Order: sequence, then structure tokens, then C-alpha cells
Amino acid sequence: MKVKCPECKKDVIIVKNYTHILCESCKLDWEFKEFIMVLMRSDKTAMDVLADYEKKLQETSESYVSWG
Amino acid sequence: MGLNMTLEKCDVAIVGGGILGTTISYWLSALYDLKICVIEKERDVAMHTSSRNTGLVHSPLHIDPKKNNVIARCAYVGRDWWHALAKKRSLPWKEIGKLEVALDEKQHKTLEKFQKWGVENGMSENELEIMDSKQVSQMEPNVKCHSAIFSKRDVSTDYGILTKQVMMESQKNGTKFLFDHNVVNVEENSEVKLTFTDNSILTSKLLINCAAGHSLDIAKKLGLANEYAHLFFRGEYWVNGNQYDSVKTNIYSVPTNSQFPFLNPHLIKRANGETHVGPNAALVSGPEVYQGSTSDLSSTISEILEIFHGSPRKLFFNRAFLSMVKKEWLSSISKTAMINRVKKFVPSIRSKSFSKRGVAGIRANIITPEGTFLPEVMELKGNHSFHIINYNSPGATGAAAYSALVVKKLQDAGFLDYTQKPKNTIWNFEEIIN
Ligand SMILES: Cc1cc2nc3c(=O)[nH]c(=O)nc-3n(C[C@H](O)[C@H](O)[C@H](O)COP(=O)(O)OP(=O)(O)OC[C@H]3O[C@@H](n4cnc5c(N)ncnc54)[C@H](O)[C@@H]3O)c2cc1C
Ligand SMILES: [Zn+2]
Repeated sequence: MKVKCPECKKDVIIVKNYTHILCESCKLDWEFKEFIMVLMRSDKTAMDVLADYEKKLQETSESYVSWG
Repeated sequence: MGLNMTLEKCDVAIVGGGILGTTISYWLSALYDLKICVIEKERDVAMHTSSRNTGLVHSPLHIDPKKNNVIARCAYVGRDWWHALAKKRSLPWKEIGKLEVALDEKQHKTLEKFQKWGVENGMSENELEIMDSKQVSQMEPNVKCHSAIFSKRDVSTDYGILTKQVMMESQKNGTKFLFDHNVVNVEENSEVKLTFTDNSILTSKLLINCAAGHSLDIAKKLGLANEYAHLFFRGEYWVNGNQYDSVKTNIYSVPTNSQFPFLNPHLIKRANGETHVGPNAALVSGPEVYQGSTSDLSSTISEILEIFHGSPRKLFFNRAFLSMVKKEWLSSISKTAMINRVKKFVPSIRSKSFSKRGVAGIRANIITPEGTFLPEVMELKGNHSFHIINYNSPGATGAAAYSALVVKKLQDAGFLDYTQKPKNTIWNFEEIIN
């Protein structure tokens, strides 16, 4: 899975067990929570930095089990 | 209760007195001569999701028979089973059907697929009628759409009342319901030891975990499913306070988001005659957070991430998920945002008429280690335990039938080596297990 740095748009490193997100080129180290809050603040940033992830979700959830 | 006092010893302890735990207790007590205890932390059965839902008996037209034929079969058989019980005991049962509308040709194609699935799942062709917009307006003058499918088998009921009835049937067979008992710890050795808030203890030869939004926590205490996480979505409703009613049947719309197909508020006719709009799916931090705390999205997310660990966190890198969370949050704080979704197919609906909130319910969804939503139920087996996790919609419809299948699995796994009782049951066990 690829996720980009909101600052420099280079790929970030996701620290094992999802506790931290590192950008080597900006020398940034986010706590996971902090990183997601940055994404939540602006849809546009989120669009830019989130990667090729949805396809998998699409595949597993095609079952239309309705909510209620 | 004194410290470490042993309360009781039983053959089967069922944690969770929702519709699932209660129906399982019914089957076990009807078929076997054994000591069963249903443990429930509230003062009655069905105080959570089993009362806090849409109250519809769903026909299996949304379920792909190739992927989930067991759940489809449970929903199909379940409808007739609930009908039999409701009739026998004069419980709420309104056969008003469900109209599912398509707004364009693409959605119409989905309706055709649903019709096919419904028939493959056992419905007869005349129970599922595809209608054009003209036929729809003859039936429901306030509904505007491209086309629709009308499912005649769908029924409005009250699952809280049905669960209470099943509890009474189960009690007649000897099941004990232990209310106000919150299981805080579980250990599994040569038998299972349950510890309650006051440190009292119950031991059992077998544990059946039906604790819904708490079921994963219980499984994890026994070292199971450690890589999984729960996310909680609150489904909220608004109640029409006007005498004037815009529709006569339940109105659903085709799911527009195939990733999150549970996101389409409906216009619901409750068994008590009320009309509701809902549910949405607002992300909340726990399985019983029925009110508040959504006025600030950031703090909600932050709270959730505090308790949401490890690889399921990948889900938060999914942009569709993040924007869904935002949109649903909006529909939680704004009534107009929620009503507007229904306005697309019932243009005359007025936000003003919906003057009070209905009873909200919470859906607990399992997130896999890959960061995806698990679409089906997860069953896990320990040495002396069986866990049912992610048991979701149309869970209430299929509960009695699914419970019979669980009992069959327990039989096959050798957990039920007890004297059998002569079969004298409300429903026919063989009908579903064969
Ligand atoms: C908004 C919404 C609408 C829905 N609409 C429909 C519908 O129209 N039709 C349909 O068929 N299905 C519907 N469903 C699904 C259906 O309601 C559920 O699948 C079903 O109620 C689940 O039953 P349950 O027994 O597993 O859970 P619950 O009813 O939540 O029962 C679990 C019980 O376990 C108890 N418990 C938990 N932890 C402990 C502990 N540690 N110690 C003791 N007790 C504990 C809880 O107090 C609770 O009573 C809907 C769901 C939602 C959320
Ligand atoms: Zn960077």
C-alpha cells in the first residue's frame, strides 16, 4: 500500500503496527492519529495522499447486505 | 455478592441476551436436557441492537446466493418462523411489504439483479414485482422514481417483543436468565470460568459468546481474533410527528455505495404505525454510545484511534471510508442532511414534520487485519467455547434459523453429549439444518 506525504508528496513509511508515519525526505514523524487528523481536515489533501487502496475493499464488500 | 463467590455451575453459558443468544438458548433447551444459563448485563433481554433496529423482516433479495447462501436461507426460513410465533402469541406483525426504488437505468439493473437473487434464494416470482414509475405512483403517489421492486414478503414487526417471547418459551424449557450480570473476564481451562463485575464467578462446560459489540473483546480474552478490530456505527432515526402520512409501505432505495452498502436511509413504517426516516451510520467510539459526542468529528476520530490498534488501522488510509465518515457525521448533526437523502425519491417529504429523534441502534463491524470490512459473520471455536462475531443485518430476521444452525455445529463438534428431549418445538429444526 502506498501513502504519500502531505508535505512533499513522496511515499511515506508506515511504521510496523501502525503507530507512526515517517517521511524520510521531510524528516517528519507523525503519530498515526495525528496523521489521520491531517487527512480528515481537508478532503483535498486526503485525495492527494491516499493511495490505491479502495480496490481491495471493493472486492470484499460487494455483497449488498443492507443496514437495516 | 461476596468476593470470588462461585455463583453457579452450568453446562452451557450464553453471554448476551439479544435475539441471537436468546434463540440459541431456546433451541438448546428445547432439544436437550441440560443446564443453560443466559447471562445478560442489562435487566432484561433485547435492551440493545435487538430492540434498536428498523424492525423489518427482510426478504433475501440483497444477498448474493453464491456468496452467502446460508444467511439468505436463514432470512427466508426466518420470516415464516417469526410469522408462526407472532400468530400463535398475537405479537406485532404487519405484512405491508417493501418497495425498493431505482432512480435511473443503472440502479434499475441492480433491481433486476436483486430480483434474480431473491428467486435464487427461494422467493417465488410473484412475491417480487418489478414496477415502472407509473405503477409505482399508482401504488404510492408520493414516490417518484425510475422504477422499483416490490417485495411482498417483507413485514414490519418488533424484534424486542419477539425476543421476550422466545425468552419465555426458553424459560419454560428450564433456561435460567441471569440479568444484571456483566462478564468482565473469561478463562478457559478444563471448563470456562466467567467473572462478573462484583468478582463473583460462574463456571460452565461450554461458553457461547453472543455479546455482539462486546463479542470481540470476549474472544480476545481467550486469545482469539487478536488481529481484528471493531468499529461502531450509530444508526439514527427521525420520527414523523404529523398525522398525515406520505407513504403506506416501507420505501428503500438501491444502495449507491457498493463499498458501504449499508448507507441508505429509508422511509420506514413501524409495526406501531409510526413513520421513521433512517438509519444513517455515524462513526462512534463504542457499542452503546447512543447519544452525543458527534458534534466534533475530530475528537470522535481521535477517541476511536485511541482504542483502534494495529493493522486494521489501514482502513483509515481509504479515502472512500474517510469521506463516508464525514458525510455520515453530517447527517448525524443535521436532520435536513438526512431527510434530503429521502427527498430524492419522496420529494414531498418535509424536514419540519420530523420533530423528534427515534431510538438509535449501533452496528458493530469487524475490520480485518487487511483494513477491510468483513462482510460476513465470523464463527470461532475454542476448546470449550464458541464465538459469534459480526452478526449483522438482516440478523434479526434470520436469528432463529441461524441459531438452529449454530446448535447443529455444536452437535457436530461434539459439544452436546447430553440426553435429547422429545422434539416439541415451535419451529421445525430439521427444516433448516437439512
Ligand atoms: C440500525 C440497525 C438497524 C437494523 N435493522 C434490522 C432490520 O430491520 N431487520 C433485521 O433483520 N436486522 C436488523 N438489524 C440487525 C439486527 O438488529 C442484529 O443483527 C441483531 O439484533 C443482533 O442481535 P444480537 O443478539 O447479536 O445483539 P444484541 O441485541 O446487541 O445483544 C447482545 C447482548 O449482549 C449483552 N452483552 C454484551 N456484553 C456483555 C457482557 N460482557 N456481559 C453480559 N452481557 C453482555 C448486551 O447487553 C446485549 O444485550 C439492524 C441493526 C442495526 C444496528
Ligand atoms: Zn514529506
